[in-house]
Amino acid sequence: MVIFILRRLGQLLPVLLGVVTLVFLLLHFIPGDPVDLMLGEQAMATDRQALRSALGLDQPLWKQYGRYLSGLVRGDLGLSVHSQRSVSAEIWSRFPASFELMVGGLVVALGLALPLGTAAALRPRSWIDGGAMAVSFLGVSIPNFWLGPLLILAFAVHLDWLPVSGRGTWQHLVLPAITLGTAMAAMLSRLVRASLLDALGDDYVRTARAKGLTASRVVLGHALPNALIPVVTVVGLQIGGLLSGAIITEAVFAWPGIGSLLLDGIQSRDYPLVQGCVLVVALIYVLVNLLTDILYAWLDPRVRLA
Amino acid sequence: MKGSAIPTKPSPVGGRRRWLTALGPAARVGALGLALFVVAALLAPWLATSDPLEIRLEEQLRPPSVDHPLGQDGNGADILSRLLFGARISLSIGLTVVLISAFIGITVGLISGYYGGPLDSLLMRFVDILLAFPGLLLAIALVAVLGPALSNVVLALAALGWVGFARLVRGQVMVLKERPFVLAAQTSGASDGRILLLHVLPHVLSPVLVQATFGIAGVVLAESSLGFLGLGAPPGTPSWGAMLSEGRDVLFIAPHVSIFPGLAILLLVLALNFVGDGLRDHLDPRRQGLGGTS
Amino acid sequence: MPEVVDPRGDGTILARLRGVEMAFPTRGWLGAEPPVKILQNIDLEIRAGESLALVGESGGGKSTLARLLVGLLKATAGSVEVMGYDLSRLHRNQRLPLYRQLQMVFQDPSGSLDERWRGRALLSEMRRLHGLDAEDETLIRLLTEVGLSADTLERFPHQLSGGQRQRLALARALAVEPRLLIADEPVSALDLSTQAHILRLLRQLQAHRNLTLVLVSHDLETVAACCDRVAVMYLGRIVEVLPAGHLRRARHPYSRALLDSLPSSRPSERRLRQAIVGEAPSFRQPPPGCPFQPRCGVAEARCRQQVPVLEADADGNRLACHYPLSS
Repeated sequence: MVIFILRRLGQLLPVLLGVVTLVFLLLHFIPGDPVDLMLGEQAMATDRQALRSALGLDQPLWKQYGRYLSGLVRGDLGLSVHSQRSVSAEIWSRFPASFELMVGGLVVALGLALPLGTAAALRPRSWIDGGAMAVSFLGVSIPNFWLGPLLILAFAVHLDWLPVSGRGTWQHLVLPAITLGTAMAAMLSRLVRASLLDALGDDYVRTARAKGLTASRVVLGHALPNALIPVVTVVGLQIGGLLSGAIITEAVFAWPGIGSLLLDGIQSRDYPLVQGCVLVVALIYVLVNLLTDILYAWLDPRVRLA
Repeated sequence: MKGSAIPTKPSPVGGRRRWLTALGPAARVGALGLALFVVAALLAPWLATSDPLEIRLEEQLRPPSVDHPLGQDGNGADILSRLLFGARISLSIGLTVVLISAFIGITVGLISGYYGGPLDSLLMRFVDILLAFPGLLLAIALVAVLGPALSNVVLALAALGWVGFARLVRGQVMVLKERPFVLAAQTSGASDGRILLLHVLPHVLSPVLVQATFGIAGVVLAESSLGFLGLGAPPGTPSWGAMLSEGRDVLFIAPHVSIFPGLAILLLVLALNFVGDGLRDHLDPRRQGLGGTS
Repeated sequence: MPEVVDPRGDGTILARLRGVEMAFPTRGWLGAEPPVKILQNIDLEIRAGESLALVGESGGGKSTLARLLVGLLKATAGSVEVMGYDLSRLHRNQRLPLYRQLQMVFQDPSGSLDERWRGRALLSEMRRLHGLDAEDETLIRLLTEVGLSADTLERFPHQLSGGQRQRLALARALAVEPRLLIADEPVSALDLSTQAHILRLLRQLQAHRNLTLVLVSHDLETVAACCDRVAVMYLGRIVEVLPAGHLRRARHPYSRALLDSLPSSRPSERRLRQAIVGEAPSFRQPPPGCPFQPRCGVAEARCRQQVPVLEADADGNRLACHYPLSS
């Protein structure tokens, strides 16, 4: 197991370096002069020069890269052009909000997918199955930038049950979490169904049935735990969808997370801030995937040897 | 093997002729819906009741009426007309991005899978790096630095979209290249290019087609997401994403401005997902489930 | 055109393998591990006009050797010369002339024919590639030669029976009029009566076309039916080479044990039959000394220490055994 983790970490290094490099190069993909874009055409020459040297843009590329890397190692992502605060501090201050939203989305996703998928698998080809799968089709296809506003109109404006936007109480979290979690719930419920159907066909489940255990016992005690193993990997992979969905969800609900920060940065052409946000989100994703792999290997020892 | 009652390989001759009827009810509904969208997009200039770029500020944000069944937007333009023209943009962007992605992805996948070795490792490490950016993140970042324009949206989405095709094709090729008919092609004396194009490529086209269908759905969603964030077409363009972005500001006073574009996106994506799912079940009865279009 | 010529000698040598080794890299827990040697010290010549069989249990390296001979794999050491071409350094534009003379038939006829191609396309592609005419008349003559009817041109492989498919695969290989044909277990995927038909066909073709044949088989009866010479392989090495007619007098305990597995084995050799019951050792951990020693009934201490070398005896047969049986 230790060796597996070490090997996996070893594979991760080139990817991490690549991610960092790509994010670094992002600034250099800008057509024209990034300083012009950030400060506008009318900026004073001295201001331009100041920003140029602050960003290190007056140095050769490899020196900029070295500076960027050494900054990263110290957790320094540079300074925000607008607020003049450190980018890492800005991101860190938004972290709890993003985390809260992610957990909320995940809870919604699993809370919907597990019962829906299980119900569908227990009565394959029944109306429950058909209904559950239709709902899941709808859920996968519904854009969250549309679902969010609809939920706001229904529950915040018309019914006035929940707040329209912002963060604070648990009520604030409900609509964003549903918006974020729906697509993942839809995908997972199909997976849970397929995986559970597979497990229900396995020998040990038949044995358990033959022993006279009740259907629900068989499912909850034997089939479901095994069916969940592949679900774990997919949840890990889908965290990516959740992370990028969160950007939109935060925009819809004015949720003060990293996604909103990123969009603010884009709006104000604060490129160091944009770079920092993109890098942090990518790193979180890579980390989650690593944890998923390890968890999966722990649950299913065959993987370790592959 | 479970559920192997279905013959493993439907004959390619007979299968092609009756693929529509073999698709299953959901996929047929999807195909019908998709056809409607395509027709609407093609005939937009004739179907639209008014100019999608028309500005009638005195009629701005009017709710649905007899003359304007889906209402009017912030400029007073007819939303239905704008949606019809928007279908052109969405479908052509979807198609363009998927074609470019598929072309690059298939090429990379064929070469990477067939030759293996250091080139393959290098390409796959690059793929890993691109995949380390979840979902739309890199596209958002790319459009953010390149500037909001439809061409940049296409560029950004294609820059990421090829990865899926490359991985899919590579995996298939790695299996195919050990199959005796490919070995037989190698010992026929044919060149590598000929083997790849004539003997390997035809066998990966079915899964590529499935992936492309889901891919178009994904691109339509991605384009509208970017548009919603203000990173797509410039304001005023009748793109569904841009329309949503405009509707966002007037959500409470004129919800119809964002509801109808969103519904159009939902229906198109749903149709594509139905078709993709049906195609997949038809071409490979063993696999089930939804593709990654979130 | 380069060609190995042996003027007025025993006949032309079409292929010559010297000290060939085939090792596959393996991946262990921590990166690379020592490569696994699937073939070792292979020395072999293939003479024009002969039919040579490579026999042994499955997993003995026969198919790997066959793939080396047609250039589908590259030897990790030693030299493989076929039709005068050094296969380890085959240039791209040498492929066409090589495969004009060298062809291969695979074990699984349904897999070796592209299921999307009709008979006509399968055959005409081969002829066109090599600049030969692809008239229907020519193709039908080819089909007739392998015992197929003209309407096979219109058929997809899945519309043919297993035997017909193998005949079509054979026609495809023969379409370029090769001099050397490598057949990798050509009948083992077929039912018994079809096997006999295909084997008879192979023998006829060989005589009729002056074809040199290398037949890979795990089945000694197949070999006896259509070959002149037999090379017995065990765990990646050639352990004995002898004329097919002398199989009964094989001297290597492994060859004899293989014979024993035939239904017509003699009672006096029962002892050996028991000796071969054990599992074939794996390539990953080859036994010390003679590769066959752990399963051999007559192995002595020396067999566990020293690998026997393949040496030619007075009759020109070759044998790698410290304590050969009497013939």
